[in-house]
Amino acid sequence: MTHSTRLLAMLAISIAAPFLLTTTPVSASARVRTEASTPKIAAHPQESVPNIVLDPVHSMAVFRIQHLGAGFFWGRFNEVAGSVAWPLDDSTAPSFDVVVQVNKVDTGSEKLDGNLQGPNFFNQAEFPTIAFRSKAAKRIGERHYAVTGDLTLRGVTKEIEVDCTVTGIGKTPTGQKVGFECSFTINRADYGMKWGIEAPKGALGNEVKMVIALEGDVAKVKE
Amino acid sequence: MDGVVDYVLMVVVIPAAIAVLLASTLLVFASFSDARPQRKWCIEAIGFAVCVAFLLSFVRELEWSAIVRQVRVIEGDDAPFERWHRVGLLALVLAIAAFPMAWLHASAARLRPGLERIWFGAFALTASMLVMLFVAFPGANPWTQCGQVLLVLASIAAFARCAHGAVLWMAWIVFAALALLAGLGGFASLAVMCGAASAAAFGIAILAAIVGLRVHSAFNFISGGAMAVVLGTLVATVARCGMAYDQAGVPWWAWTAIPILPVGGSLFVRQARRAPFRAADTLWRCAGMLVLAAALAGAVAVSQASASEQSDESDQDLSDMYGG
Repeated sequence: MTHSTRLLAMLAISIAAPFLLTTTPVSASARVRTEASTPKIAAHPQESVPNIVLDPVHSMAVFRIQHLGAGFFWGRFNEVAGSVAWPLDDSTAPSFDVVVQVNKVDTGSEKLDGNLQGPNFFNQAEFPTIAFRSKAAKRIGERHYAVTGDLTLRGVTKEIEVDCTVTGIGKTPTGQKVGFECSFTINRADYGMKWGIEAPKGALGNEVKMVIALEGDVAKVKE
Repeated sequence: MDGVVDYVLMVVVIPAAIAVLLASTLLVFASFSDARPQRKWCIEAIGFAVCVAFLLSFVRELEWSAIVRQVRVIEGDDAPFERWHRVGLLALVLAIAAFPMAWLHASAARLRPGLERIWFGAFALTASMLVMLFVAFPGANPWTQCGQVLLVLASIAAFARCAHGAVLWMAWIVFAALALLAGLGGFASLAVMCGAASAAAFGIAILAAIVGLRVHSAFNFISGGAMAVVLGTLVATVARCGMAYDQAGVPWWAWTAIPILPVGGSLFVRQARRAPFRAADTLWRCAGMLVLAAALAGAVAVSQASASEQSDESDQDLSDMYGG
């Protein structure tokens, strides 16, 4: 290596070094965005009500989307976890904190599962979870509620309204189980998932309906 | 069906056609230029057109805001920040940087003998360091970033040392291979962007060959300098991107091998050197690369088949476990 080559190599490294010291590979703008777009969420409003820990085996989320303007295609997420605060009666509306693992998407086709986990859709490598945290709720019928909360999908948080029904309260030798069924519809483009809406035009619909079946074990919240 | 045709037209054909049109202006300028340095930098800078094709395809898929978002927060924009969008920014930077790099490299020989190599080394090193610092995909750590530097440098070296007059034909094959792997890995957007870059490289190579029949001296393609830096950096970074987001278990070594496929140009180097005319030299170099590409495709097919067999066996175990 000649003297000049060494000099130039050192020059290149010295130009780059300050960036190394001041910038991390993950963009600062991404962090600013995440912090700015994620509003502060209060803890469950009723701290004394029984806390319901979701049972991932008996909880699931299914989604529906139109394919090529023709049939409705269904898929599911096999791992749903989180908790619900609800006093097991209609005196107070439930409060949800639910997390869905994107890598557990299941359409019955491995290839399609891979496509859905890829950057054109859920981008599992960057956004491994979908989360819903409720902020408010109102009773609209017997054990039937309209729950408002923040849905975080692909790093975008938006307020949505979810229709929730308590499907039942069951007894087990160790305690009680409670079931909920919640549904909502979103436009996936609002969350930056635009592939297949305009390009290729009409390959997949924009509107996604989600139905989430939850079952959890009732446990007393620690004082 | 019309939707698919329109899609391919908008994200592959039109970006590639615009790139070929832009490259043709440089080719025409090179054809009519008597001064060797001017001719040289025009030809070296042609790599920018391949980046333009990639960039236009990227923008058609995702809009310009996806690139702007990489450098600053846009007021009122609530779309997600995604790390892989950096490849669009990289294509933009390389398309712009191709011109000053080509000019500096082409004029270096006039200033001092050997300065060309120094500039080339400096460009390659700077490009690889910038990629290491500013392009990090999911799962990145200091080791993968160092690996990225080596891959960029290896790809630049492969294009510079082994491609010679076949550089655009090799870019065509390399981007086509990346498009295939990206498609296989479930990454449709990256596949069409690589498809656009591949189509552009093919179009420019054809155009250069046609014009070269009339103006022989103008089209002694220089695979080193800006051409190698631009193509090597883009190809290596796109390969790393595809590897980071791959959802189909495409082996990591396949993604890593593609950017250095141009080393295949050395496989039949004796025959290439003995070739009586330039087109034969190009053919021998491309043939060498195609042999390597075919070997790689075979290895990937075997690996995918064996992975699929293993998956079937585990499914069988599960069905046995549940009685059917």
